[in-house]
Amino acid sequence: MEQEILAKLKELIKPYIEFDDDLDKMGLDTNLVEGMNFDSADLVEIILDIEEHYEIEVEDEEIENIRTAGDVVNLIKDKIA
Amino acid sequence: MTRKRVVVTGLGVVAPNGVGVDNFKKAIQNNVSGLRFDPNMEAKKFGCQVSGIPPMSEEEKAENANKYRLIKLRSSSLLYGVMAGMEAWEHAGLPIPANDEEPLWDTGSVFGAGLLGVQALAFGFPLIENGQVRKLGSRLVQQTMNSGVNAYLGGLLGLGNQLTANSSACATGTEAIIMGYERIVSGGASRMLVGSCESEGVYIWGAFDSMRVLNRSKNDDPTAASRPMSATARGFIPSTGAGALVIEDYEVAKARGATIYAEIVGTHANSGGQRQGGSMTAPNRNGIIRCVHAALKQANLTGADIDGINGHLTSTMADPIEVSSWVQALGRSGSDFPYINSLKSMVGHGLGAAGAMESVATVLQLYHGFFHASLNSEDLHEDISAVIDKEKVPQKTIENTNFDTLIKANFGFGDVNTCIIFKKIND
Repeated sequence: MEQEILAKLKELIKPYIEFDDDLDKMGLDTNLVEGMNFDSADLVEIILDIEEHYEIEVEDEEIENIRTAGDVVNLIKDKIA
Repeated sequence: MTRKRVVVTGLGVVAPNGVGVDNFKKAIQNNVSGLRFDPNMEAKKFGCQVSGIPPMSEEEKAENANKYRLIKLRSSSLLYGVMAGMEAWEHAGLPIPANDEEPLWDTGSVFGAGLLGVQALAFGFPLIENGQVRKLGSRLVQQTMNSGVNAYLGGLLGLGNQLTANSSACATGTEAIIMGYERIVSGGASRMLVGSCESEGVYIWGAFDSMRVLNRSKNDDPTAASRPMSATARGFIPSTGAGALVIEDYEVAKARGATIYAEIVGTHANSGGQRQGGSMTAPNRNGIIRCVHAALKQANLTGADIDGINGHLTSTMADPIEVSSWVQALGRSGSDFPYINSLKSMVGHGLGAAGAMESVATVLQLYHGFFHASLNSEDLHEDISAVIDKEKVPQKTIENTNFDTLIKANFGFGDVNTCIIFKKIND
């Protein structure tokens, strides 16, 4: 399930990255800000896309705790469980 | 300090009758109208149901938005502006700097709009009203702020000089060029990317329809709906798009071996003060005449030197006033009057985008030696035919003109005027 969510996450993230190579390299441990060159504005949009796709709501405090792709995957996993 | 000479070295355009300089040039030379019946205007019960929208499919828009990283694009005007700006840059033969290069400290941008992001605002307002403000996301500010276009262009090109957006209603596009020109003349920059664009659709055009200044009589004949200088002109046709020019210090352009499309030899912007017959919506003729005179004076030219006029000429009752103002300003009439045309006859009135699209058209006509027709003017208004010869309003393109000097003007709400004189480069 984790891999499935990670694959979907990559799909949702794709419009925000400049180089597809970064996406290929992205794993659960990848730091989204440092590893993917996202700024806070990108992260806001990505969370909105995730909310829309999974029909979930992510709280502000939960967004603040996101560091890695794995954090996002776990967040989604918990919400859709 | 010696005034710098300023030349045009790059053009970009997204117009209702042609996307890209090559397509646009072909369209204006072949007198192709870009005006179409607009089903959205019909659905919203507009009196006028004709508009001019650049011919791009949703796929083409998405492809370009992706190319220029316009993520979550909700404003087509932003896309048109960025596309025109990037085309002008490449048309000027300038390389696109890499992200790790030093900013271009000598290059800036003035890119205006009447109102940049009406579509983006229309997306946002219902969310706010419904208490869903967090769903606005992080891309709405730069799509609604008037400086949105050069905020994107500045990032794509690493522009390090002044970046700003002007707004002066329908004079916005020419004013942007004038502001960039002045920046170079004063030595503040050696190159400026200048232009303008306008919002698209019913949310911006509705108020004009309500004012009854749009033509409601030609919904069944869209290409005949914009009729500048005609006796049967019944209002303008709203349109959208963008135009952009790279303008440079002549010495800098020459040193890099750039193709020079025209020299800007004189400019002026003023207002009629809404006095002497001028108002919020009507021009004070004295303001227009003073504006043209000031541009001629700066260029060290007289009315006799003008070969052709690309007028503001919107297809309203103001056209005869404009033509008689040109007669007075240039001191020429009848068969001595220069040729005059209106791009709006083909693309409608692009409001804030008009001046930039029309300036691109003017430079193309000067450089390639033709003067396009002014469509739908076969029944010239009697107040116009009383002061200038009918053949001065071309019914078909005049080829091989070899014109040396063209003059361009725009006038806007608030009684504002702008005028630019473009001349072939003479060393």
